[in-house]
Amino acid sequence: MIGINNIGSYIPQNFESNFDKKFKLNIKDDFIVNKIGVERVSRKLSDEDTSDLCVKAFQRLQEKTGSQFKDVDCIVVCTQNPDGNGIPHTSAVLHGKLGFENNCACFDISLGCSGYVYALSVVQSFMASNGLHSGLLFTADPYSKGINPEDKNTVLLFGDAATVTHLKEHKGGKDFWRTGKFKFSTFGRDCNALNNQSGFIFMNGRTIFNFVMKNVPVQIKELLKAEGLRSSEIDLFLFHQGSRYMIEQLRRILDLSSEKAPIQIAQYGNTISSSIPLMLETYLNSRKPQKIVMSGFGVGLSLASCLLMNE
Amino acid sequence: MMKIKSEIAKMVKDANQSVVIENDNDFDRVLSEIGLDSLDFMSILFSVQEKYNIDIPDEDIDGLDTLNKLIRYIDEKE
Repeated sequence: MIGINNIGSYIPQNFESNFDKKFKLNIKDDFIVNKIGVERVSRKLSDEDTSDLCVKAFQRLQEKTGSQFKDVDCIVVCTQNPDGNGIPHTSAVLHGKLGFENNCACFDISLGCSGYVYALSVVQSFMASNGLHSGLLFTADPYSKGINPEDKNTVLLFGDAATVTHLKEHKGGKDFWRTGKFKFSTFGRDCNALNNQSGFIFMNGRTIFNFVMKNVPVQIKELLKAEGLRSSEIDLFLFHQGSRYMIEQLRRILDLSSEKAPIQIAQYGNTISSSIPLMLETYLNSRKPQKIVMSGFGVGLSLASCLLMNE
Repeated sequence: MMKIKSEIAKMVKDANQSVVIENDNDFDRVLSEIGLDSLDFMSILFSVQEKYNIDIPDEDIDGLDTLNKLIRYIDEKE
């Protein structure tokens, strides 16, 4: 059985304070703290590219585990902001930088905020069907490459980060996490609500908000029904960190406490496909929950949810 | 109209718990004056669309700067 073994992450220690932008963008402290919930956003350095963020996340994983991961036979990068202009694929660039053996599968997955949940399913299935034993799933989508500094819909919200999830064949145990059922949805009719057609990220916040409020609770309920579980039996709900207000509204609709559906966005922003694994890393290392629901939603408009268990 | 008014008051509370509508005059005050910001209003509009099964296009929003204008808008569309 393939499952999650460990997670490493990297948040560039170069930050832009949103409080420094409040006069220019005509916003109040309350809006920063209690609505978008992002006090500062992380920004990669100008000479860092997407694969560099991935390398640093991998180094954190090595430091954490003491392993060199010499047996890795699969590298996948989930990004829509690849190195250069996307050719070659970032996973191949990364493979070269990490110096892994040639008998290693590498491919990229083009998805945004739903990407981590999707990619978990894809990578696990790919590894299982091809007899692979040790895979690295990276998320790194540095939106700072396409942020318009005058656009308050995006410049206050999106931060840069990278994560790496080590997936491996395992027989079970308390430190091993396996996925349950998955649910996927796409609302392509509204795909332009979040796009980068002009070279800058554009976001229609109202369309995204309506999409999330209408569809995420429905998909969560469908997932729980398919698993035969009640909401009260789930220890933790990890939602993509779109904004503080969005998560608070999801909590209200789904009747979840702040402990069960945490917000982890204030110190680096919305990190696209990295937001869920960043939280998962925190909680796997501390609270040791048994059952977790993860739900990613955004670009596409795409929505994916799954159950994660360590029983 | 009274029913819509009480339903809108509940949506306001759901959107922002700290906003208190004290009297009828508040329904005629500009939204920012009663403490509602753009995100709160986005949430109220979503609730309105779901509750009354109506579509509120972006171009109509600028004219809806008080709760009473929103209530009249719903009444006309229903």
